[in-house]
Amino acid sequence: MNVINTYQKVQDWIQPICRIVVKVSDRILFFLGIIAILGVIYDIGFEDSGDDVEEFRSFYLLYIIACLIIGAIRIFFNIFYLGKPLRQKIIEFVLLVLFAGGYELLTQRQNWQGISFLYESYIYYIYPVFFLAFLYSISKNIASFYSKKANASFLLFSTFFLLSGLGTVGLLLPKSTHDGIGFIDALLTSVSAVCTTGLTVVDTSSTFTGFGLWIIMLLMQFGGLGVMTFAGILGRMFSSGISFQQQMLLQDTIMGEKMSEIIDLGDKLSEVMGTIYKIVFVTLLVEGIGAFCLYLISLEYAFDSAWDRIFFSLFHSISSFCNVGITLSSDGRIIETNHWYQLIIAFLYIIGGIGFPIVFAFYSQIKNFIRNIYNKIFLRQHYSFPAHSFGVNPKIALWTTFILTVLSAVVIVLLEWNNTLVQETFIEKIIGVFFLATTPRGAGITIVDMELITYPTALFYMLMMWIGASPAGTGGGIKTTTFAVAFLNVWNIAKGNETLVIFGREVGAESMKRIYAVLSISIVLMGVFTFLVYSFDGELALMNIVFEVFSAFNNCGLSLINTASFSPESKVVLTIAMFGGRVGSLTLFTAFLYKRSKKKLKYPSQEIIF
Amino acid sequence: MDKKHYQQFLDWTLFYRKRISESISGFILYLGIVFFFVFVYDLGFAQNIQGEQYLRNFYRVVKWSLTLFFLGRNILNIFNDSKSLRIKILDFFILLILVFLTQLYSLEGTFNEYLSFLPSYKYFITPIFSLIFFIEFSRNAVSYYSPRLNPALILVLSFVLIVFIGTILLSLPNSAIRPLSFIDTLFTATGAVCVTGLTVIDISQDLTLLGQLVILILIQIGGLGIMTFASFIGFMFSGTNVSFQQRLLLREIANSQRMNDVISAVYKIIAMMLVIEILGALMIYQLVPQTMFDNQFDQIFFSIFHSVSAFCNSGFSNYPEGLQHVDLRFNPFFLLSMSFLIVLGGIGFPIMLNFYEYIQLQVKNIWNYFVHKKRFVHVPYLFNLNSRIILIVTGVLLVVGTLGVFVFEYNGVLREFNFFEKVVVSFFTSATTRTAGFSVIDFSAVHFPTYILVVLLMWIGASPGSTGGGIKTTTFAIMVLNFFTLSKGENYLIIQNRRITPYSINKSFAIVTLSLLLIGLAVSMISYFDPQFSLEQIVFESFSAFSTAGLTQGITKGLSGDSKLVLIVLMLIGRVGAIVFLSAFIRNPRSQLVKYPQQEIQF
Repeated sequence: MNVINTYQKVQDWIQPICRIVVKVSDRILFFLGIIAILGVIYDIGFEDSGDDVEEFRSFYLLYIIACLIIGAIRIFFNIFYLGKPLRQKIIEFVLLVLFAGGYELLTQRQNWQGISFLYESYIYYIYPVFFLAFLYSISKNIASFYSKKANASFLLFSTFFLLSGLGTVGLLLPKSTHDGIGFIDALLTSVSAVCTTGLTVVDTSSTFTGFGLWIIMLLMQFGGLGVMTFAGILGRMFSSGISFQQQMLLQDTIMGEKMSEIIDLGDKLSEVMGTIYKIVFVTLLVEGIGAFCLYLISLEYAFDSAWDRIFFSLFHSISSFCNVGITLSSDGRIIETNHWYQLIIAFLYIIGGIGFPIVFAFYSQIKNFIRNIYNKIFLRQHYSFPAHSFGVNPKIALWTTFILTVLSAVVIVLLEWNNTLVQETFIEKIIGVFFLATTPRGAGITIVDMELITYPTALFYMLMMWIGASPAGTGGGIKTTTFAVAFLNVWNIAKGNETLVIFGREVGAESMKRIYAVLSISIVLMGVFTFLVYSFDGELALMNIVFEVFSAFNNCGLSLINTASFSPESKVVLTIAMFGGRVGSLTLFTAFLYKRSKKKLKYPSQEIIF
Repeated sequence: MDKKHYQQFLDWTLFYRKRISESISGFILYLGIVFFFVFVYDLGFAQNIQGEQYLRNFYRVVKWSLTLFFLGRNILNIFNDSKSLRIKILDFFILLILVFLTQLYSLEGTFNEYLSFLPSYKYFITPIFSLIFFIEFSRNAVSYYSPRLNPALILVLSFVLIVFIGTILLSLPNSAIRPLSFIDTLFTATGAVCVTGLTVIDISQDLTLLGQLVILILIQIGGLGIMTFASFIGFMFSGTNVSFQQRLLLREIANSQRMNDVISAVYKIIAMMLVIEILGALMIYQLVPQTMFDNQFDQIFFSIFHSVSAFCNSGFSNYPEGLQHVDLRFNPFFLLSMSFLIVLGGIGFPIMLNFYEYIQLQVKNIWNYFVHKKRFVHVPYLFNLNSRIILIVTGVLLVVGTLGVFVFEYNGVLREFNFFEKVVVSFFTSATTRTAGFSVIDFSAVHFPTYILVVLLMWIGASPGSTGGGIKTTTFAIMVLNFFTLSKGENYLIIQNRRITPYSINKSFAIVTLSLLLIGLAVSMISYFDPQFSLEQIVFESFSAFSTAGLTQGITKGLSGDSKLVLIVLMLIGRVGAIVFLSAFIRNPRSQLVKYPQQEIQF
């Protein structure tokens, strides 16, 4: 008894200290991390001459030592601290070990002179370590930025804002470009990459250095992942009807705080985290396979080195899957002669745009199929068919995508077969039609000269851009489900029904109102942006401007004329349009979930005459 | 003969009386159809002396047959107890007129010497015949409505029918000064019936007085809504033998909520419309300078034409140059009176009925207060939610439009006006864009902000149940308020302490979606057929046609035939209402017995 009492007393006394130590060290490490990352950026971005390599080395060493000391104290207190899950303690320990490795590398490198790779390239070890530590630090501290009152829309907004800002700074670094780049151009490129749009004002391959291209690639990757995770998780919450309070808790858990409070929500939490892991995993898998295929198909003689060829493939794979559409061929069109290349790109952006619920479903189908074959051959077991229930949303998305693709193909065949595609062979034309029919709904990569497409094609493209890709995908637009509901609603009202039923499910009034709002606000905003661009660039044809605004707002990336021919003011407007288009619809989705009216009044209902 | 025998006699003759009565109705109907064609032929083609002789004989036959039929019907009426007194009186009145005509119009085909000042027997006798046949036709019209028929389809078909009749009338040689192509005639007729105001011809130069009169009648019918018209006539002359389901149908057509009100509402609508149009015509007559016209008849016709055209939100003008004529353009009071007519026409009949009730109540209150010393009676919620929304939105849009045009064009197309005129022209433009379609300023010369504003205002259009088009003010209000409600986090869309039903929101959504899709489709098609025009011009034209506004940037006459056809269909859909048009073909409600589980949609 006595021992337990004493233990309890010690605990009561030691826990607050632990908490304070952990909190304080969190803050310190966070600010140290920022300084270190800034140093790294400076090192990468500005220094070409090797004069102050030693100075940077000591700077890094200092940071590592500081981290080691503080980390060691933390680890010590971690042993006694109960308010922290074991997983975090393990992560911290691993990080500490990694930092110790960095210390070893920096101080003892004379002993390793034989291993020249490590000697010359210690940065390739410490940069990732710093980055990991910084990420962990952010995840620990971010909760104080996103206070409990902040909602998902703010989180979404600030995430994309920060990414775009960081990207702009990164692209402005002297090392990113060969001859420098203006602020607005850098901003537009960064936002274009993060918001998975693909509008560019400079020639990507000739303006940016390898470092700059890496930044763009990372921005595209994070932008695409960000969209998928936000849209996916929030969308799942919305469609599964989790309440406001639960969402708040979930949000907190994503930030890594308040673990104790959500024990009862553990299942939901693991579902959410599992979803994120799955999204990242499937994304990387698809992109990896895509890059591999592109690598195989690309022509070897077109590249200076194997590394160039790998990077080229990877860049295009990510650009396609994330529906960005920034390409490295100098005239903005991907290798026109290689039609299998186009086909793979098309598949990549379709998979990216169709939304991960559908991709998951297919993924598990394929996984199951492979497992079945394996079991059949090696274990001599029977096939097993798991029950696959496609939800209503994926069904709508798939059907709409299919119908729109067929419709677009017909329109393209009618309008472009003898126009822009006239020089191709039959097979190439077929692939070209497929490509041109699918690219306006998010990807924005083009294989023909956009200035030559017919007027009605351009108008049709605007509709397709507006409709966009499917929910929880990387594409833009108002989304296929939105359009499907809008269209079916028209049909339904004309038929004389009161409620809309799709696939045996009644569409909720709440969804209807939201979809209506998304649709109306998208049109209003595009009108405003068009108006602004027109007032800055009145000399351009309205068609070109409207097309550009549609492309920017719906995160597509096609343009009828070179985006560079717009004035700087218009470029800013287009940047805002891209950002608004990306964040806007998701915000509408989420923002207002948080402020439910507490009104207890019930008003008499009233029909409106139209 | 005592009463019992009399009754037996009645029962015995019931079958025969019915048969005779039906045959009389049938004969009159067929006679009416024949008369219509002959009359059109008479009006439309120049006649030689022999032709005149034939026609005179034909009219004589018509007159005698009609007299005979109505005599027979009146005799039958004596024994018929089921017919209402009003109908019997009407029948008797018609018979009186016919008998009177035999006295007026001698067998030689010339008028009685007292009436020799009248130009021709034709202009006197044929309108009377037309009226009689029209009444007769309308009496039967209600019984043609079958509850199984889709009301939307009836509406669409009736518009199409009127358009075709209008086209035939305008194609007559006597209607046009120069021969018009079929597509142009069709376009003009559709433009008139759909109260659009887009023209590919010059009404004042290309049409004769007859043609212009046809246009005027088409505008009037189109503006009032054919169904309102037909149902009015039908109820007025067919008494009370209208089935419940037919009333239900009419309620849907007349767009009224309360069943019993339909008939009286239709009466009031017609009455108010006539009063307003007559007052408008008087005002216009006073305000336009006489120097503009050759004779007084021209001035009167001008006034009536413009009053009807403005009230019906049509936008046709029968004066060369239209309202851009110097004497009209710089005539602020004329423009103001036109604006008021446009606004009154565009505000909708339901709200006018509301006003009527309101004024009626106030007058009664005042009367009671001073005469009977009674206290004022307050009727709660006299202005219903729809009226309130319409009033507020109309007011806001008028002000926004006026301010917008005034500010954006102060140094633009308004440069030539003085300050007061600028304000008036801005107001007029703001009113006319909400689907009247008169243009005082040149819309191809406006600045881009004005362009966007005008397109937006055209798209929103007038109010429900009015003579104007567009998606309607209520639709727009729901669209805007839905967004703000969501952003405020309310569970329901609540306006003025009333919860808007999800169905209303869905319907508003459907209207907006369909309007945009149709306009987009039309723009694509026109740009395919006529690639020489810029996007601005085509978009403007398409919005104008769909909203039945009739403003143009001046490309209508240069469009190819295919594009004109696109605009014709677009105008028709816009007038009928896109959703109604669609439901004319696919209306087939799902059973209400099954309730499906709810599902929220991801986007």
